[in-house]
Amino acid sequence: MVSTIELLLIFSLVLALLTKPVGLWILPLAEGRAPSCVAAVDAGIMRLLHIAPNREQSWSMYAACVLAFNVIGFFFLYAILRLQGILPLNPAGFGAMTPDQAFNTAVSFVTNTNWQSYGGETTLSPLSQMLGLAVQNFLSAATGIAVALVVMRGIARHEARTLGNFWADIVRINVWLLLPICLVYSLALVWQGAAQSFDASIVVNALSGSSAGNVISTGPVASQEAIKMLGTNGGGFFNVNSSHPFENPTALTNFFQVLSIFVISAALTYTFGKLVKDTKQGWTIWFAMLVMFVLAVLVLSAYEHEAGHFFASSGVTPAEMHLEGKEMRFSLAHSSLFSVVTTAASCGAVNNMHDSLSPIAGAVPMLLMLLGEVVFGGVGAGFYGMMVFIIIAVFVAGLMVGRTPEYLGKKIGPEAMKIASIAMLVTPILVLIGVAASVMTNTGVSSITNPGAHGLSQVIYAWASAANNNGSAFAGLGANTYWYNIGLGLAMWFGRFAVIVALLALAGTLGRGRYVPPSTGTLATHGVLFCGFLVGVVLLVGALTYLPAIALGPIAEYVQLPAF
Amino acid sequence: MLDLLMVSILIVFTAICFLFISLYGVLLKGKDHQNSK
Repeated sequence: MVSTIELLLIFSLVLALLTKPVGLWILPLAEGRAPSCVAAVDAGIMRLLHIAPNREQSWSMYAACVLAFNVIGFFFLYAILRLQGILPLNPAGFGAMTPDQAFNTAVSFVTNTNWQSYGGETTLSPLSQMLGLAVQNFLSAATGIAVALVVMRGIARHEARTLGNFWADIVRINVWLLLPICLVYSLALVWQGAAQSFDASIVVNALSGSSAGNVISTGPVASQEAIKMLGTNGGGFFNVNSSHPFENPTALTNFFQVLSIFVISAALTYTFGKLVKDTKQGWTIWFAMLVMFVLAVLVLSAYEHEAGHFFASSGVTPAEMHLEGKEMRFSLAHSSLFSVVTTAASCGAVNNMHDSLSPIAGAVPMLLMLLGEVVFGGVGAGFYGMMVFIIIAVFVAGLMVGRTPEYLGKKIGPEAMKIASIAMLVTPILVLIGVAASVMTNTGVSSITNPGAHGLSQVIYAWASAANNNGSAFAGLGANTYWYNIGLGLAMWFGRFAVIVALLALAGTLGRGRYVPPSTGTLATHGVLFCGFLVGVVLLVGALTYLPAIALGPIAEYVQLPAF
Repeated sequence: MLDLLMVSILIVFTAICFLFISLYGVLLKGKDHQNSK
């Protein structure tokens, strides 16, 4: 437990140190321009692509562009997966994915979920991985960041009918933020030992001299790994994701992988503070996220430590229990931190198997997803998800004191509240109806490999992961069926785009509002009081929505443990 | 045939999202005056 706290302190400190510089780098993008040092090159790129960055769009046009862009992305990726067998750069000669699995995978990568009902090294060619999946990793991450920037502009601008140009935003985020970092990041991963090759596999001779069965899968891993973590995508090149030494070779890469999941999301809070000309606003959101993050790591780690003691009477030593489902190169502390970070954000990469976590420890990543992944969260998605909770917190506080709710000089009117409520209700509807339908149908139940409470946890986890665009899994669930491929595809699509459309509409209505100067009765939305209030609202909404489901899954499993 | 079905499902999903844009547009229509008070 001490090692977990030490790691947590170091991680939080490094994250805090990176928040401001990365946030400042993103600031010009939020202002609708490229960083000054690259402005000339940016102007050339815009001319080349026939983009007029100053021709800004209304929220509805912006939303239409987001949808159109991502639908084209879906068709492109679906075609690659279905035509894989006849496309080049396929040294292992893999055939096409089945239609339902290709549908699920294409939706998954377009929506930044990266739920994988396939094993990468046994299913996909290097071309599919690079041109299909890695490209969508960049584009889906950029889409999330672009939407977050629009929400920021909606709050920062007054009486504005336009909120930015989607095409300029998506290009600038890729060219000036994601690509440069990923280039350096990929090279660092290769330096540490991550694989990067066009070969599908290498054959090595055993000590006996025989090469039979000694085939090691490889491929263009490092280049995909960088954006997988930085863009909070999470889709692994290999089936075991960041447990694989070619994806996550050393303790150093493990630390940078978890750090890179959070870095852009944390930085966006600072960008927001600068954009609204009050950095305390950004830091308040940052600290609210940090409080929930620290709580989650401590609870998960404590229950993983405790788990071994339940089985002492069965002759299992606590240390052996801790390592069930863990990659032996990483300690419990590194696995605990990774599990929390990957589900607090919408990443979904794993360096240990979440299905093997003890019941309450397993409930932590599940709950982090169910809260909407607002604890730093996915790139962009974490920020705009938290903005929904902020609007609700401000509204509740306004009701308490009998004043019209205000946030940063904007009155929160009925239409804004309606949209925020819809945005908040989308994922619970998808998750709870999806779980209920799954456990009521034979096809849904037949995929469960563990009967009883843990089986229900597997199903809840799958729907929570899909609807919140996480992508990690309680991998015991056999999800490669028509039911789960199409059903989870539906949850991923609406969990992503129904929420995005709502948030863009929210930005539209806030942006059109005129500035209302703060008065003595205005609720201060910075400082310890609001930070605590915001955490309370997030946890309360999550608890009220999901407690029955959590009680029937992980909590029921916990009380069934032999030594409880 | 299955490919056609998968593509159709996605088109329906997308159409519903476009419908959301229209619905929010209706919800927000005429609110400019109210916001400017």
